[in-house]
Amino acid sequence: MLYHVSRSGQTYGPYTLEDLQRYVASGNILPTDLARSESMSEWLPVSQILSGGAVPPFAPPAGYAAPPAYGVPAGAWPNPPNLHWGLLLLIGFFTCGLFFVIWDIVQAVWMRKINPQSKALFYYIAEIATSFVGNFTRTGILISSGGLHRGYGPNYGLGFGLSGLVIGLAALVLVILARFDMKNHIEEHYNTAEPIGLQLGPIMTFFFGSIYFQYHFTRINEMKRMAAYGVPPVR
Amino acid sequence: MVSPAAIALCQRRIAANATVGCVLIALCVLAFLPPDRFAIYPSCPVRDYLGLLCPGCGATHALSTLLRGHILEALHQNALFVLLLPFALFYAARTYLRAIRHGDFYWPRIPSSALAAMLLATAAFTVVRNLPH
Repeated sequence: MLYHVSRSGQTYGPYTLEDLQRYVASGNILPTDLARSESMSEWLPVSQILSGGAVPPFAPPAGYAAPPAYGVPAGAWPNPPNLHWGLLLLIGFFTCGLFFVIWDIVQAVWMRKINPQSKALFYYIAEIATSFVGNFTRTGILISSGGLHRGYGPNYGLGFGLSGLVIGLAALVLVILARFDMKNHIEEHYNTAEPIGLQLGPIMTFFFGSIYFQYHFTRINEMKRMAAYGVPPVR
Repeated sequence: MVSPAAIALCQRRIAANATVGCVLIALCVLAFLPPDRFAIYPSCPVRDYLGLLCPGCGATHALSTLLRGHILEALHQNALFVLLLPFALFYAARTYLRAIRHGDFYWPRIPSSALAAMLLATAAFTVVRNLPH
């Protein structure tokens, strides 16, 4: 069912119920805004519609089965980031891994839109901060030892080695937590809201993280694009 | 009320322009603090831990050298990076233009064959640069 939203005399939409939920969650639509579907005679607050007060009860027909893959209305959920995984790999190589870090954030931001419960973004930001502190410490030690300019041969010492190890391990733990949080939420989404039976391997998740996710996102986007043109997905 | 599509476009334009700004700042840093004289840049973990040259090793030096106009020296530091740079710039420009325009954003598509060729070239380059001289 599609809804129109009204605010200050202007009408927007139509939106699906899922769209309304997402836009309310993101603050783009207020719970106090008015909304109405074609079957409703009067405008009601969005909050009342979302609470189920205005939605006609859904009576599943006999023999109702789970909806087919990509049976959800187009635009109900934002598509995953659509950069080809091969390109991600190439750009990541040539930026010494910096682009992988950026793409981790892009994927985590998308995950938050799909499922606000996801903590991957928090873990990735904490990991970046930890790595930054590690580099900052290293640079500070270099400056204090007069080794900022190359050729001075700074001696980092045992203290630097240990602190570097601890900071490195902390960053690694945060990355692993983020990757498995992403894995769990991606699997949850693509087996409930958009059921395509996606299963992600823990070993691939551990070692390849964003590249592995992007490989599946590339595939999912391609399937969605084909479905939009009426081509049945290849299984 | 501003429509959600307009908000999304606004957010995308901010992100695109912020990215361009960050890239320009990074280029300025590279130009004024070249990595061959200042040890402020993170080192490559592949080279640190495995002792091998990854395909990106030398790219920061090559970019810094290019900014000073020494193309031959940059080719010596990382030839593949220098050769792919024009394509990368073209792709980045197309991506930026799409990001600031109306409509749904999607990354420009590259033919699978071209992508496979680039990945193969990168793999070959990595093998060759690690061969014992």
